[in-house]
Amino acid sequence: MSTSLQRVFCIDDEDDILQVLRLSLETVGALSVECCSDPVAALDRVEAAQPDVIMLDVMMPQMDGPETFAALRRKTGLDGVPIVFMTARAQPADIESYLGLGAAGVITKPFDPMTVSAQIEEIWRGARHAG
Amino acid sequence: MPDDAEHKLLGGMALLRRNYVAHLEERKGELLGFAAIGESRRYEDDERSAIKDMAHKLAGTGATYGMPAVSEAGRTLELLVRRAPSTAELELGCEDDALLDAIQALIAAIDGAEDTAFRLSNALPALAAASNFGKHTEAPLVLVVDDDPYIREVMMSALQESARVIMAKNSEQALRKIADEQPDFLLLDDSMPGGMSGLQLLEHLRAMPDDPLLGTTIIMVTASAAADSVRRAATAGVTDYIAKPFSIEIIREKILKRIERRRKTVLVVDDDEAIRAILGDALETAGFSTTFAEDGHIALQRLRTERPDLVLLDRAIPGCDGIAILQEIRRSPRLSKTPVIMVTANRDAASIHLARKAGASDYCVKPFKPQSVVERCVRLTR
Repeated sequence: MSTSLQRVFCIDDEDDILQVLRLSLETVGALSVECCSDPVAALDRVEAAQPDVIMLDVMMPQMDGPETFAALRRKTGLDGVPIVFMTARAQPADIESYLGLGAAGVITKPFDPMTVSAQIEEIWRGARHAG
Repeated sequence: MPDDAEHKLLGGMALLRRNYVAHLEERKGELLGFAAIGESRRYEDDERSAIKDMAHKLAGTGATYGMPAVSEAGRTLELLVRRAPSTAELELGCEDDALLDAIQALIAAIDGAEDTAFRLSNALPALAAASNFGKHTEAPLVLVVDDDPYIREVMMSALQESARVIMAKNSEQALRKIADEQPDFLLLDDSMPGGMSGLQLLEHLRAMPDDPLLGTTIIMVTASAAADSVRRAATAGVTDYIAKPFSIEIIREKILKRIERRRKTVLVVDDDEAIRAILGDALETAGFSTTFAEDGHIALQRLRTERPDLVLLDRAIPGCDGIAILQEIRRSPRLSKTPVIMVTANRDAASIHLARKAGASDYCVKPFKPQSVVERCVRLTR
């Protein structure tokens, strides 16, 4: 695992979200960002991207977040890579359940493009300490 | 966060916001369809599910793009569509009424957000500045506001070939010159001793009921691009933000590029002479050139020989239904992509939906504010 956060892989079916994430993480966080709007295709690409952290939308038509999460966890190439859920449905019970699955953290939508990269970095740091 | 990162983020967000507004526009069309359904019958399960998905998406994105009202209205709609109707509602057969209200509230939030986003992106002043000067004179009018005589001098010599340049050395002089001269461009120093800062001056002018800066492209020059002031400047409608020390060439290029834009033409089709005059004035002020038709027959005749950049079409005009003209426009390969704004006296979702089905790019309901019609025209011709 890298000693600093460098590469982020984002999975969300909505381009409006992916574009802001990319802009925000690249310009504010100086991170390298790969995006995929289809979770099924993402599963094929994500290992090669060698991300330090994976951002995962919860509600996607093709394959929902928890399902994608489980599939990502089965990939040995991604051992120890923190996965962060992004969701607009962030009742405390929902957040609990995502953390219960093993998510490193939850980012609520709508997020602030000015601060989202700092949020991700903080979650990534926390996950490294824990791991 | 380093200033240049913040700067880039703001610039990038402005571009992304444009895409997002275009997506909002599409979703508004779908919501209008759902509202029309809700006015006539109960929703089917697949419709409820589509409404839920859309509400969810808007709830999750609006505030990210600086449109919190869209997020809020989306969230309300999502909660409503997810809950089971109460027994009382079922007995009264009105379980979808609250849903319909929430859909309409979301449509209204999108309308409001589009107008705000539009002012933020400041396309209207840019377009107006680029086209307005051509009516009066060959060169655009640039007002340079800076307390430093050296900077004023440098600006003057750099710009005088391509523009008429006037000067102000403090906020008091600037206020007077802006009101008297209505410059096409304002180059504004943020930090000036005494009186208001550049930013305060802008906020003061923007708060006036008849904003004298409407139609002015504003370029803010500043020694420090602190996060908070960049945000405030963007809100006050600053088109460009330049940090000192700056290259005068950059400013010159920025201005020249904007001058190159052409004037765009709007065909106003309305049988009411007063409406034609009001819209004509408002459009001309914003830098459009205008042509008119008082009935459907003349409109079609004009459309055969002219190619306006946009058509403002009254729904109820003598000669034929506005919808029929709209269909004619959409059938013509030459005009099929020309934006058409339908002006209608009916506020009900069904008739708005009909107009959109027939190919209207947007609609305005009478009575309208001329400025909001102009803003829609600018948005669609950009």
